[in-house]
Amino acid sequence: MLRKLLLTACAGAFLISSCKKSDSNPSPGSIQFSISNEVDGQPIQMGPLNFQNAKGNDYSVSMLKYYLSNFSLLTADGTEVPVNSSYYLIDASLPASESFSIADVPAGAYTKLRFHLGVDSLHNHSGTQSGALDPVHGMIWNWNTGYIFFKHEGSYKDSLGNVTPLAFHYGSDRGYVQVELPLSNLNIDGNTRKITLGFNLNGLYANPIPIDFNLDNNRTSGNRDDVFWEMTMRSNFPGAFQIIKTE
Amino acid sequence: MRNKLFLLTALVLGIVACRHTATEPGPRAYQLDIPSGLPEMPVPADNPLTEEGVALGRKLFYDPILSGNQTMSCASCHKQEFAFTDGGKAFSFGIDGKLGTRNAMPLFNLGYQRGFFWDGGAADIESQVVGPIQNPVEMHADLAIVLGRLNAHSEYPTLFEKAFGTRTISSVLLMKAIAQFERTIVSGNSKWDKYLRGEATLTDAESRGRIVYEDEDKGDCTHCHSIGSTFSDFEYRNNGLDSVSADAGRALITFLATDSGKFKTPSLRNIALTAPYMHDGRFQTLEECVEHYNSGLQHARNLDPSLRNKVKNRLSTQQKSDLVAFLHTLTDYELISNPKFAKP
Repeated sequence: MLRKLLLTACAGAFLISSCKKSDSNPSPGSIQFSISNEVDGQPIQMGPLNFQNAKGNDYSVSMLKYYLSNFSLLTADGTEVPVNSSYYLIDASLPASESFSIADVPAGAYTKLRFHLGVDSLHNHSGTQSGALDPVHGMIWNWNTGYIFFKHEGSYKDSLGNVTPLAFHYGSDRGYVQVELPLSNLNIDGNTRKITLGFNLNGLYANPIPIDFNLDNNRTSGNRDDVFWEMTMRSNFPGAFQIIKTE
Repeated sequence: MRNKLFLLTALVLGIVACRHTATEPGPRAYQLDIPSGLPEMPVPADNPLTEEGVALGRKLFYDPILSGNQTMSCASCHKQEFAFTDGGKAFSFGIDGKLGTRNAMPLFNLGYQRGFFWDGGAADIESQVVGPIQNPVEMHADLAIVLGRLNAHSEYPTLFEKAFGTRTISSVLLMKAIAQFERTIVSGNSKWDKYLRGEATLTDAESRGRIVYEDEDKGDCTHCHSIGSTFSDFEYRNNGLDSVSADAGRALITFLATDSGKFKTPSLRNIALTAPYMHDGRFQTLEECVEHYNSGLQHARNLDPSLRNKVKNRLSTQQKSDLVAFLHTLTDYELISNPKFAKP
């Protein structure tokens, strides 16, 4: 008797849940991100002086790390749908860091992707955090509780032809940058979409304000003398990202 | 038979369960001993003080394992006999022989403070911990390597398990352990405190010095170093050391020009032990400090309002020496001899 009752109850529950599924409400999906770190389309190879910026400086990359955070999607009418409040530490020398998946993306038709370079001020002032924000990743300042949002270390050939160290360490509350990129109709309805997001180092050093490594080569956010460089980087970051493809 | 087996199993399970709770009591709460005259110390809810956590933090504080080449510990520049400063040095050398740019700060009554370092750059004690460990001019270590060493150590995983319930040592737990120990370094048993409790008497010079300290037309020290309690408001101020400060100070953190040359008001407790003085250690003696406020104030644009329009040379020689005598009553000899704060 008990068994029969249970069985009926199960069947009932099953029916109800399956009914729900079959109605016309669209269901959330997921987006797989693949980050392509490059210099004008060339993949970043760590070490050699393979690259040349808009100012004609030959340069290399021995380290390229940065935080992306607070992803959201926008519909055609401008409504912002937050999809994720995680922090991603992208490291051009670690392929595993260059792809991540965001689940439970609300269903909808989206025309823009919005995210941020850096760590928002709510999370930028505590060292006792784990995951991507764990201080172990070498992305915190030594004198100021907060994160280095972006690091490019390497070398460049100066105007005399000498190979000289290059080190840019960027990050402060005022340097938290919003990036917004157009999407060609990304429809989410229970499916998995893939977005390849490109980051072009030469874009960062060119648009709209070109950076000449002969003038800026060892810069750190927070140094009084480095304020102009910091503001230049802030204005250049949004243009350094682009959607390469959506699948 | 089945029933018997069942009973037996239940019994065994019951015993095991009892044993389990009996052998793992978890870390024990640490009772902070706050002397009369100091307020209750706020402790963050996510890092309560425990006997095991404090003991672990103390061991780490004195262990050179935290530096790049394992030659320096926190205590290398924060020595108990000098109220946890670097014993007369304006700046301290790091493991690579590089000099820092600011005077090593004393470590006591930290739980009452809001920002750490001279410019308040570190938001809390926990976050402060990893600054000197990684700073190239200080302990110059890669945190990942330090954690690797700790996790492979013969004792630390067990000590972290006792303190935090896990053998896996993370940066967060490292920060929490050292912060716990640092919060226990409380100083409130100076001659001045004992005088207030009726356990000591002040000399005539000390009593006169106390009056100079509070007199608005003379020492006028109390705007920033209110008498009693922590002897500091821990605010950031420009105290007129230079008309244009070579060190941007608080402005390095806030990026506000109005914060240029501002530094955290230090506590005057144990001040006789912490020479040299100011963020750059420019003054060797307390007499020089008093003379600065008496005659040496420079008119920085953001000079603290309480130091503006001060009459130059308003202190007599007698008043200056009395003031210094009073400052000496703020030395807490129990702080520098307490074995609880010494190397374990």
